[in-house]
Amino acid sequence: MREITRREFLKIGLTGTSIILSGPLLNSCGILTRDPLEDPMNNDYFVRNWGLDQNLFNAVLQTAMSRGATYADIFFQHKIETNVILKDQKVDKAYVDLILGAGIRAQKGDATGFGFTEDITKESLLGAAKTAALLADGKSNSINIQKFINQKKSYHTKIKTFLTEVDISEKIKLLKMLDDQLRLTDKTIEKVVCILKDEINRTLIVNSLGEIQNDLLPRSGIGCNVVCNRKDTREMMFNSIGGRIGAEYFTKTRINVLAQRTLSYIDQMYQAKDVKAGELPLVIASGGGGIFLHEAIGHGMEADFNRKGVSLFSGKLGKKITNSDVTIIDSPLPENKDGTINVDDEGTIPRETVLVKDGVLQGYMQDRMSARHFKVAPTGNGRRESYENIAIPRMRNTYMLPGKETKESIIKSIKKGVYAERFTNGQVNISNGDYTFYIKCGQMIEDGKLSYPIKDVNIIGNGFDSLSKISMVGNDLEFENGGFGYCGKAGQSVPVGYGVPHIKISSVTVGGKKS
Amino acid sequence: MNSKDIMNFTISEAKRLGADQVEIFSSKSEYTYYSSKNSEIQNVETSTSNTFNISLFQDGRFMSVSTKDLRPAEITDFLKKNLSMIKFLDVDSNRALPEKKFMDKKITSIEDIYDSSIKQIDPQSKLEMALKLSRYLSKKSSAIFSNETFYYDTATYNYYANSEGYFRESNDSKFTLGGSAYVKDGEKIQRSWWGAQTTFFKDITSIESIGNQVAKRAIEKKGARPKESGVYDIITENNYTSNLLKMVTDSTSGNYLDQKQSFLMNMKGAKIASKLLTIESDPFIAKGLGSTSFYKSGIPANKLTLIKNGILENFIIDHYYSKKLNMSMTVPELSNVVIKGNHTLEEMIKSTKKGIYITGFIGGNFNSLTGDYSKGIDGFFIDNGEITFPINEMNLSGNLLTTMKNITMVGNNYYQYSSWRAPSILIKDATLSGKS
Repeated sequence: MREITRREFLKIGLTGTSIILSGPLLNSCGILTRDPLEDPMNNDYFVRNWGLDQNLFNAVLQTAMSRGATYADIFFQHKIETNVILKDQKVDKAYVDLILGAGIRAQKGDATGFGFTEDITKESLLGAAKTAALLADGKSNSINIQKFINQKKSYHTKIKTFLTEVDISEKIKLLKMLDDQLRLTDKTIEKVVCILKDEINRTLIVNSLGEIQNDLLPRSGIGCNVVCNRKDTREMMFNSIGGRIGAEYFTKTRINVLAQRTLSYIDQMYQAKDVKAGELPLVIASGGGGIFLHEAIGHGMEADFNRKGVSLFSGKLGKKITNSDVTIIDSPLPENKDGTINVDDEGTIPRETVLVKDGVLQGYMQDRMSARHFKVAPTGNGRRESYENIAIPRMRNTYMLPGKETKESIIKSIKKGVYAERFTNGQVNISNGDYTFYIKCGQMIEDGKLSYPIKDVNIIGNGFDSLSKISMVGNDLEFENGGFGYCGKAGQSVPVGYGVPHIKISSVTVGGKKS
Repeated sequence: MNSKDIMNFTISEAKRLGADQVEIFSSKSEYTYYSSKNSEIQNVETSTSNTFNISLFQDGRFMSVSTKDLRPAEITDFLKKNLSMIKFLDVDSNRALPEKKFMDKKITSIEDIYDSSIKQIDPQSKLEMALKLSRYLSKKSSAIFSNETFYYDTATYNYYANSEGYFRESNDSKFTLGGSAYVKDGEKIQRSWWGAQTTFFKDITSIESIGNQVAKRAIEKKGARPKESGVYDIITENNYTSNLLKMVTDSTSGNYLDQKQSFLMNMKGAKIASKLLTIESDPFIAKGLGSTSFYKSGIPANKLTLIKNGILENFIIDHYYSKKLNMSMTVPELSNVVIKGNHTLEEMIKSTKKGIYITGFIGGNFNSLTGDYSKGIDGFFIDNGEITFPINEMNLSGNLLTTMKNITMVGNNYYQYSSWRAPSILIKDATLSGKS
């Protein structure tokens, strides 16, 4: 039996501009259209559809705290996800998943009681609340909230049209456009699978502090997996674009760039040579290379591990751990990225969390429980996969601020090393700090120049050690642009974003088939 | 309405709304989770989760949909919306319910995969198990400065029904007790994890034996460091053997073959591994954690020999890919994976001159098209047949065909807490990167 600690990502960094799909995309007869009366930013979706009211919220919270819990919350969720798939030039498969439920959580000190139900009725909600109450065995904490307050928040997911509202025939056109672009460009293509996904996630959070918050988060992406066959040798690449974006994002230009970028990676893989295993300097490319931050420092700065004292970073706030040019931030604010949120899954209005400033460790990413422990304000990092899970500290968009160097000057500084361009996944051991990430393709650097492509190489290092070895920071911060990636922790997957400028790490262990 | 009624209602509604064929796989999973940190209660959870997956077929078109909203009016609305989309999809003539000849095969009942006492077990005694394990770890060694333990059980009730009138049901249960220990190691912290999973409550291994494993695994990691890059023989700990071999078995699936994404394409009948390696799937093992009497497609479960004495005997082909690829149907997925060998772990270690005993993988990935892989590892250095010191921060890289052919010993110590009943394996000449 293996523990679930896998952190998986699929990503790509790219930009596009012109919008060509506008009018026709607005035909909305998709799977779950919005109620025309619904203001997406209004919190009455659950109230209207399931007849919820203040009395019910009070009764449920009261039940959850009936054995001495000091805090309780209710998390309602309704999410619909659609995947339309093109395979062998036919769009012949579609998936639609609807999830609906409510999770009820009670807390006392470091203990959490939790129950959920998929039946939004008073009886079932009270039943789940009774389960949550079991964490404690004392006197009831009585509450009676007269009016739940919906604190004003800003929206960082600005879109025109939800892809979920778009007619499936339009979605099929997008998939065929991507397939056509790929096949027109490369005649050696043998197989293509394209996926267009969209989701709308509605949540409502009510807590014993008298707060009520809602959110409506879209997420969409288009991806392709391409297999080429050249002289009986096959190479394959998956690539995607997406985020918390609307239908208007899927322009012809962006689709074309996605196709060209994917094929250029495949070209690169055909020329790849084996890597000699060992310790080498590493240049991490801007954009998707942010996975390094996510693994090497991000998880270790999540407050729960530090509250428990089991992270490599525990007790080290204020310590200088890296180059003064390094500032690392986790933020809900960058517009429309995978990790962008308007409110966290505990109802906290999220703010930027500075993890490292000028090389010095600054602060942890807090959920409510850890914030109470550390006697600080929650940072809005309390996130959960769904109503079936409790919120725990998670990253949102983790990135490094740009420095002064150029990509060229960084590469030029290396006699022999690895340039890591495209990544698939990574993992970290929070306690000893060992982290990995997988380079799908990159290049060798020889005598200050990119010399030949490499592929399928794992990088392993230690978080503290690698951070202390960041010797150059580029001026070209980019975010990854995924739409399909997830981060896994404690069996829960949530979408996250990340970004990085070009950076140089003076030495890490590079996997290679050659000894 | 009970599960069967909801399924029947959904099938008749889908047919009324225009579907030719309908299939539903639904399950109800009741779980309890208790965790403790340093002898204090940390989590108390109990809930029921439902899955309700519907396959819709209409004029050769196919959609797979699922919903948690099982109110009848909402089911009807959900079906209506989906069936309004299905007509825009392209036709795939291979999409249909499994043929009668497959569905009518004999169903083998399996012993002891559902513990009917699960509902009677006192919640307090479950919580007490997590607490006891935590208390045991707190006392076990002063080196352990923190521990986390948990008890988890789940009872799952599976149902299958389709519009041709087939209905199947099965139950299973799983019980898990495990924990982590944390040990200071200079500036670093070493963490271990161990647990036991069973199909019956009474079979849970003793708290002491789990606690001893958790503690031992953390303490032994102190002082871990990388060895020099080079060529080493490797031995996998039995619970981590699947981490390597799963890359091989995944590459035998119809989906990979169809999309020409497998390094094993066209290799049926070829020697792809050492003759010492035989991999079988057996869904009928009593108390097996991967045992099942039928698959999600409703087809009765079957045994399969995937690799026999190093020869690739079969691929994993379900009824859809069987038609699409014009190949014989085998099984849609592996159930209990059975790998047998003759050697004790001690013999394997003894026979290794310079090697690594792998007790953990971290990250890494593989290219299913070429078979190349690269994964982070930790474990112990073996010097002249003896385990010496712990290692970490190393990468294991290679090509699966070479790695599989280099298997020189297969253990008799199969791992009992997973559907992958794999033993340790010894692989010669693996490339590891570590220190320069």
